[in-house]
Amino acid sequence: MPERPTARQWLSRNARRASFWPLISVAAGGASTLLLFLLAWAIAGIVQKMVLDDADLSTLTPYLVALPLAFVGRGALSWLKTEAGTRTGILVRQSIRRELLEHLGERGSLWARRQHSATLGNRVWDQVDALQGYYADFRPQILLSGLVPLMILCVVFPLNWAAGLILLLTGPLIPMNMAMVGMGAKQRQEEQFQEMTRMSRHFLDTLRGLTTLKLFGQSRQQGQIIYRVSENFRRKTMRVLRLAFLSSTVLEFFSSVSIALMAIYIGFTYLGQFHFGDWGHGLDLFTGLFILILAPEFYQPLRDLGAHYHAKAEAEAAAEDLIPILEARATPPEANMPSARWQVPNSLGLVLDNIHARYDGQTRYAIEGLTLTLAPGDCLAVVGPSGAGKSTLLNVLTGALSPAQGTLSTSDGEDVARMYPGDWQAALGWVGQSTSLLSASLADNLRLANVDASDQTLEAALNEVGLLEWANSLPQGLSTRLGEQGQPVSGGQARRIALARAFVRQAPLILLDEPTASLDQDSERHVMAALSRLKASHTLIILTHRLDLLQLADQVLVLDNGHMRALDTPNNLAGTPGFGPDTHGGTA
Amino acid sequence: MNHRHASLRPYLRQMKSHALLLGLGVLLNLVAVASTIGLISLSGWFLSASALAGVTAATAHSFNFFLPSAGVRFFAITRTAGRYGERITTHEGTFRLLSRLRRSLFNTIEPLSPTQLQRYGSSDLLTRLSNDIDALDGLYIRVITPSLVALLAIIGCGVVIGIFAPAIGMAAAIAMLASGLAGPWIAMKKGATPSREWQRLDTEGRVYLLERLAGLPELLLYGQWSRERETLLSHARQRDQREMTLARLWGASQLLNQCLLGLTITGVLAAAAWYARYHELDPTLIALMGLTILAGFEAIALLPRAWQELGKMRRAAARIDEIRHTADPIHFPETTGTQPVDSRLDINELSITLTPGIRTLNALSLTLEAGVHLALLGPSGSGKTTLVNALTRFVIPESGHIRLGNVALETLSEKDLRNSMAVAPQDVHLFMTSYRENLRIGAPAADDHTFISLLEELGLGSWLSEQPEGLDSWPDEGGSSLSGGQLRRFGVARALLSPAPIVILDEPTEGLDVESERQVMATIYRHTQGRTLLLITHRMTGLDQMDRIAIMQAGSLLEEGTPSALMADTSSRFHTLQGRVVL
Repeated sequence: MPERPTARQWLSRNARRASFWPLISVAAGGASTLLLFLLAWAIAGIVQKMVLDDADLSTLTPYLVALPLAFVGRGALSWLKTEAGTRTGILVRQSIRRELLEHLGERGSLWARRQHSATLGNRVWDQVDALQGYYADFRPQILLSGLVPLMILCVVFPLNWAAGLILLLTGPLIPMNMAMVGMGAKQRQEEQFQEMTRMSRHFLDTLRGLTTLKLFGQSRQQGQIIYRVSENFRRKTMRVLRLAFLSSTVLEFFSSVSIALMAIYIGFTYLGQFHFGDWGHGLDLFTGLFILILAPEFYQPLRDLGAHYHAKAEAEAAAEDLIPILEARATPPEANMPSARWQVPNSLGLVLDNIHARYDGQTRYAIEGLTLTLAPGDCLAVVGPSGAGKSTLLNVLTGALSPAQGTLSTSDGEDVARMYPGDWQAALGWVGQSTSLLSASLADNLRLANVDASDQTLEAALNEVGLLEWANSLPQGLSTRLGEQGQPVSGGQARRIALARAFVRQAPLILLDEPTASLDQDSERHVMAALSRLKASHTLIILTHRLDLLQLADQVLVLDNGHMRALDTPNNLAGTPGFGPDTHGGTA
Repeated sequence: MNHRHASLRPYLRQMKSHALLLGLGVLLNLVAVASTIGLISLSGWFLSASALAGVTAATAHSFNFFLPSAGVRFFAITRTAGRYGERITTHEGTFRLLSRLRRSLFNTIEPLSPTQLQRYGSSDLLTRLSNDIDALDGLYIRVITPSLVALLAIIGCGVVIGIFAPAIGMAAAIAMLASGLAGPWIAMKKGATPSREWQRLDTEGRVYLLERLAGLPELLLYGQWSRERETLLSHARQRDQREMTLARLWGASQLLNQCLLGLTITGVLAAAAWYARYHELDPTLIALMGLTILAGFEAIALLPRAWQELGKMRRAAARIDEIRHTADPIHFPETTGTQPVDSRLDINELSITLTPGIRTLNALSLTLEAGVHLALLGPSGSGKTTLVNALTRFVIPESGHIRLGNVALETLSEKDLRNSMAVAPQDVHLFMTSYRENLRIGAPAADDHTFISLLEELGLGSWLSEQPEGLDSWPDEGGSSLSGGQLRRFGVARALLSPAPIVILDEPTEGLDVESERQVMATIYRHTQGRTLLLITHRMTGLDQMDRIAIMQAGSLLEEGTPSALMADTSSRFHTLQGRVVL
């Protein structure tokens, strides 16, 4: 695997995603400086004509026409720069967000489950958004803060080297100045950023823990504590800021001093006190004023850069979070892509041959040497204590976890590992322990399992799990919206909807994880009935603790500590010691 | 401020107590702006005047260059000092304001019950609130200060020009004022809709994303992820469209500003030239007037953007206001009327409706004698946690009542009620402080030895020994320092440490393997001897040691009795639930 890039490398590499838009921002900034020359020329020209040349008012016409045009042009270019910058940021973000989401799909549910879903959501949504300021403002401004002063110097030096020298010396060489602003602003912004984050985090922490504080009778005094923490942070932050603001003050100082020096130098030259800097061809009022108007603009890009510095700090922090997700891409599976697609058969049996499986970063096998054969249409129950390897087996069967050793194949000899991605999953239906209902219509929630299912299919499936009557009683029937701000659904109903998905799916193999755990009696009855109907037409694998579910099974697999302890019919197993009703463990 | 800004009023009021500091910030900002204008316009005049004087040797000699050059240097210094002072004071002021805002907001939220807060969408709401406060802190530094300074700067520019040519000064001030009002006003008007829509699309997109991430296993298995991903991306694109609209608006206000600046400065220069020619205005003042306008416009250039944000601030304030007004907080009497005689709990015909049309608790009656250990079972959604919320008075019952030691629960002061119950909820919150402080919430006076031995009893000993600084360590921010099961046990430790006579534990052993579960149950029994225990669970481990078992279904009691009696009854639900495999 290639080494991970640093945040800075990664940020600049991703600028490519916006194609030519960043260049437009910079070009607009550069063009605006050209118009600056025009407006300085116009103002200085008017003054020269009126003060010294005593010219006729009509000679002012070209200046008075050029002047508003220069401003309008500068306004239009600012617009262009803003628009190009924003578009740059948006393009980069959209492209990164797409890649993140695609990547989530490739890494699979196992990986995603290990990330906290709120954290993952925060990365995909907020952290990607945090890149905006960097691409929209900061990056173009870096180039501009080199380009604009250089353009001004190129114009000023040929006119008057002394004035050029003042600019050059008071802004002690642009790169040095930039580094200084960078360092000062970096320290300032980072420290302030940290302190502010810490303070709001304490606030958020207290709000989130409000229930706990209330339960222990300690919530009332928190208001005063929040105030104290906040004041404490203020004192600490201000100590940092008082020093850190000095760096931008230095820049401010240089800019003020250069204007003052420039004015005094030019004024004294006019008065005949100074005789240098003009390359020998004199200095008129027009040139002096022209240079004076340019002087503040020489420093402006650097000051703007300082103002955008927090955007960089934010983007770097976000990059640190995003790099591990984006850069650790798994090797693409295209390497040994099969040529032929696998067709899902009407009924499906399984052969597990010496399966070993373990999770990333673990040395111990969660399943070790599992071998069994499941005939098409059979029902296999898997039992065992927590940590025995039941979930791992399920992960292997869904393809979320590839076996480290051994093969999983269909009863007619197709190796699942060699199938085209997605082909195997098309043969599976799944009923998990916790059902995720989406905030969508009941029909959409069922069609999740099969996009093309007709309304009749959906209704038949609901009938199988005893929910058809309920569905018909809903205000909009199948189109009723479920979940947040929609029709409330009980835990039992949710489980039955998940089971109905298995019917809609019309896949030959259905995997079920504790389908009757923590259900009310009514739901439990419906689920049991539906399961026996499913069994008639499907191959089933059920993970369970419940004895009544075992009665459905043709074979029971007893797992213990990753090993197969027994594989037999339920009746034969009932005789073995220790296998029977439990009074000590399990889930209601 | 009109009625639409009414929601901002509480925050403006907070500013009063720091009026001096905040005023100083405005003043120093004004000094900096005025010095910038002064520096550049005085320099312009100085150049013109000295150039004119320099035409003949005699005038050059008599020209008083001392005053203007001193003025230029003076402005250079005040500009720098003013800027520095302004930064320090406005930040100091903002931080002070922020402290007060946070305190007042917390005091608004504190009386609300957690269940009321959760109805808003729990943690998302809390994040929002925190962001809202951050949005409000820009009110002073980005809107109020620059607006005031801009107004004063416009008047200043008008006066400076007006001294020499009153008509030009007046016209310039009016033009600048029009520019200063038009830009921000248009930005605020036009920006309101896209900014509101942006917010809506942003919230919707986030909710959509979180939901899809939670359902990722199904989506992947059923091959629907790519379709959902495209929906999500197109949703984000719609939001970005609004962002683009807002950026375009900001671009347009920059164009408008520059157009008005161009017109104003051209007008002023032309008028000044006219006055110089026909009304004996000193021509050296032309540069001064032009440059005054140029520098003065800088003060209003950034206003539209700040005012565009005003809508966002108003919405933030309105959301906080909404919380203040929507829900009636649950009231506790200041002092307890009659003290409870013991810790017996009587729940009588208790009904609670959380979602309209569905009774979460339906005329539930249950009695817990003092010192009794009761396990409460039932499918998820049967109302067990709601019962706990009723006992802690986080929800208001629709009908029925709860009595503690023969006294109605509502007559207890909050302090007395909290002191009588120790609760470990399902969601255990770890505060961003040391583990010791986190445990002290349960027992402020207990020592390290008590903490460590209890953690060891709960099977957290090896976890604790892995912590770099033991009890002094802080939890990790992402919440990864404890697994789900460990976190529950930490919550149990907190509750067991409290000396309260009633202990309520909501699914304390969820996510534990059987071995740890037995250990935790044994610890719970040991530490609740002589105390009342209400244990909510889905697990069957060790329930034979309980005094009583109650099973809930659909908001009421299905059956209740001693474990042996229920076990003996083959038709009981408890008997059925016991039917599982032992290994």
